[in-house]
Amino acid sequence: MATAPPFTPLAPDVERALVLAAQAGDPDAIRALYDAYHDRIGAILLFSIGDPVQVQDVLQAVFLKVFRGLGGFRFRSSVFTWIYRIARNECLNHLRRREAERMPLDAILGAREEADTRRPANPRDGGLDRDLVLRDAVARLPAKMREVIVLRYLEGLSYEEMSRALGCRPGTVASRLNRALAELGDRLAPMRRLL
Amino acid sequence: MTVRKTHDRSKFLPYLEGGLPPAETEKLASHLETCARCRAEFAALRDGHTWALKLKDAAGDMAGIPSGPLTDFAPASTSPSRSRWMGPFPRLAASAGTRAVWILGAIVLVQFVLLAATNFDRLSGRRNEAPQMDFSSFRALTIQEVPSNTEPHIVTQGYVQEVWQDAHEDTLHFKLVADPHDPGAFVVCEILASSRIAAPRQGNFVRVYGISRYDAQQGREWHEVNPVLNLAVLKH
Repeated sequence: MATAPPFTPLAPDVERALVLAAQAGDPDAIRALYDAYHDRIGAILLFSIGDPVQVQDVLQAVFLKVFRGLGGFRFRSSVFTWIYRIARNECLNHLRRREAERMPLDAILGAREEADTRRPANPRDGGLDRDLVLRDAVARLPAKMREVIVLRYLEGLSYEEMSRALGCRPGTVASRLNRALAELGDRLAPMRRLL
Repeated sequence: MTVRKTHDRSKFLPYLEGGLPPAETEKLASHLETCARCRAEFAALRDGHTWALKLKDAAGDMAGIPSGPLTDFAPASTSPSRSRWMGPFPRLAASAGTRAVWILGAIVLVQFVLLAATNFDRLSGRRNEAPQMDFSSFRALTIQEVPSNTEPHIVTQGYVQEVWQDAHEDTLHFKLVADPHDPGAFVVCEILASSRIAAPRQGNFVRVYGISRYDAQQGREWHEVNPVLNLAVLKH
């Protein structure tokens, strides 16, 4: 399978030239790299973080590190792999902090009678947004499953590229993707009519 | 063909994507006709694959993450010496006025903490005692699992391989490895001097409770338990 990525990646030689120019301090090249990766990395982060405003905060930290570390980038990996690994670690740190800051709902709501007692939406009632359902299901997958699905189906990476981005063997990536897809299929089985 | 190979689920995805050789494709197709369990598992995977193919459309709706101004990153030069760390709130830290408010706030906070600590000492007669924490709620992880963890509080265990003191920061670090003969999987643990936790010795097998972090500084780029909140030596 080779799904086309939703964001048009830069041609490798163009990207290399941009990185070299950016390393020399060319502001246009820095802008071009930022434009090329902002939405691309943002879409990946959105599946893990969920909230666009929080994604923006994490992206700020990611690009700060990217541009601070760009001088030391030696093309030992692709630019995408390098930025993705920075984004992945920033994302994990953000999720850890967010978890630490989370308060129990009861502490905020106080009394039980103030809780929303309406029945949850029934998929058979109609009006469900397929994209929303899918995004939510992917976002709720365990992190390792989520990232292989996002890298494969959103970014269109090959098994080799994924193994470099994730730091594990292609065989591990393949078996993880196998399990992730089966899990996604199982979780969305009640929503199958939306397919 | 052995039973194990017949039920080899690793072939499902290549089969679905048309990447299996014709002979294997035919074999798997006929197996799926007769094996209800594999058929059910294949159906789930096929559904997952069909859903995942729609991920691009779903992501299309997610466009519109606000783009921060590029000047926030101060990348006039990519040289580390000229770039300026502006803390976790680059926008807030960008103006001199706001920086002054942050500094003032930090001074007030430090004074408040010192005052509170002094009163605590006087009232309770205790000094620098480690707070009582419920360590049972910490997430237990192997060292290999730490990189993909998203929980803030973790407990992990391994062998102490290197111990070093950071006099400048008044902290003690040690490298914790899962296997002393394989230094590949490790976390770096940091003990604050104020925590009064006894330093382990090299070779000790220890259990460490603390906050999971990632240190992205160039030359480090490792996962940490920082600070260590509790430590138990299980084997000397």
